[in-house]
Amino acid sequence: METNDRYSKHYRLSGFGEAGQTRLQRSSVLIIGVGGLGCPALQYLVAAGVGKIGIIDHDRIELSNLQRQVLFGTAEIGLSKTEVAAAKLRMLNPEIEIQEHVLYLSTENAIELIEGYDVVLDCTDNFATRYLLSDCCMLLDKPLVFGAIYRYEGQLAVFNVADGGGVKTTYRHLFPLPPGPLDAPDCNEVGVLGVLPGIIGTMQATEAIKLLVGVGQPLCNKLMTISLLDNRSMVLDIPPTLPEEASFPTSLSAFEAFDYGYHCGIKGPVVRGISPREFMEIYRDEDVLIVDVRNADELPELSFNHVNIPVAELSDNLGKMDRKQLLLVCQSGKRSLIAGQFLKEKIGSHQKLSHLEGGITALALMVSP
Amino acid sequence: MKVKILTFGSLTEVLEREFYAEAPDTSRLVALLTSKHAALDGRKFLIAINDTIVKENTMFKANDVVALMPPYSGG
Repeated sequence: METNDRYSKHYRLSGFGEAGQTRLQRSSVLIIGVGGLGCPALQYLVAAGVGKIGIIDHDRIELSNLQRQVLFGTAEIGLSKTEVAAAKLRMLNPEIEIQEHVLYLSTENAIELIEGYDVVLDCTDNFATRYLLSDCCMLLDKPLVFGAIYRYEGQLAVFNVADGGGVKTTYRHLFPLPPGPLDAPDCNEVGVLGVLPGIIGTMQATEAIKLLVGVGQPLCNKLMTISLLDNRSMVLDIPPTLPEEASFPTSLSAFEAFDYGYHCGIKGPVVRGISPREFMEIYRDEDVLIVDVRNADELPELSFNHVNIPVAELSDNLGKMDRKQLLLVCQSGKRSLIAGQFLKEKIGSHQKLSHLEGGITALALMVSP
Repeated sequence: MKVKILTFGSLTEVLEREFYAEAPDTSRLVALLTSKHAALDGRKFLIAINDTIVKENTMFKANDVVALMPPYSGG
């Protein structure tokens, strides 16, 4: 084989060498999601010389992404993440093939997209796509490197790869069923330390390289967790038996017909949304109780009468919400909607329930444009 | 049985990050915590005893370290 100075440090690395580099060059990796996890994972996999890399993301770059999505620059706000990432990665390494897919991963396209790759990286930011991806990779017996983050903490695992004893596990072995939407807010809602996805995404790239080269012990049947606040790290063993309550499609045709939005509780009851203008008309009404469902320490503080009951504490405090009309507010309108869907099932029909669309952000824009 | 509990992710908003609890097994530990904190009702989280995830109800031994970990969705 002809050597390439680009990879000279890999050639010299014991356990890797020219043979390992050749294996990487003959391999392919699909990355789902070009966000906080996907950006660093892509950079290192492209730099390492994986022969073919697929990128899937439908989103556009936003200013609030730049604190952690380090492939993107301020001038690229509004552009397609997939297209900008692909262009930069081709400059980093023009010797490999990069496939761009500007689309949502769905049950209609997942099988065809995933089949053609050796390893898949889950760099997504929502449960519906995580369960979809886990089930699809299980049915296709495709190695899946899972990464997920919350505030200062990360999770990492390798699914569908047999350990020495021939045992394989999936995300369903950890969490057989998705949490309710109240349980697991995303980065937009609770914030995330910018370097956290940098660490977890880079570790996902590391696991993919280990799998493809055949070096070291990948995290098969183990869940690694890291907390950056106290540098606490744990590796938990995942048991091989799938819990009975797990319910998922067991064939590719059942997978294509499966509704992951419904499965993950995204399609909940309808809660009336009110506009900032409507809000200004009714917020002083005696019958209206405004409930701020953000956490107690979140800013800005509200300048009008309200009670603060964080989403996680709603069920403990139903008694505090005893007025004819409840008006839920949060920063963006996302948590107030989820809180409304939750409360709708708890309160009777004698109370009206609505939430502020666009949240306090939209209200502030209307008051002082 | 007195065991040490470690909590993660969004569970730290309801429970302390680290505390001790008195319970004979995992089912009764969850029931005890849920009775004290209604916000835990219906929450999905995995339970690991001394770094091994358990799915069935499991008896505790003295000095067990029990991790309660919810799924994270961020990426």
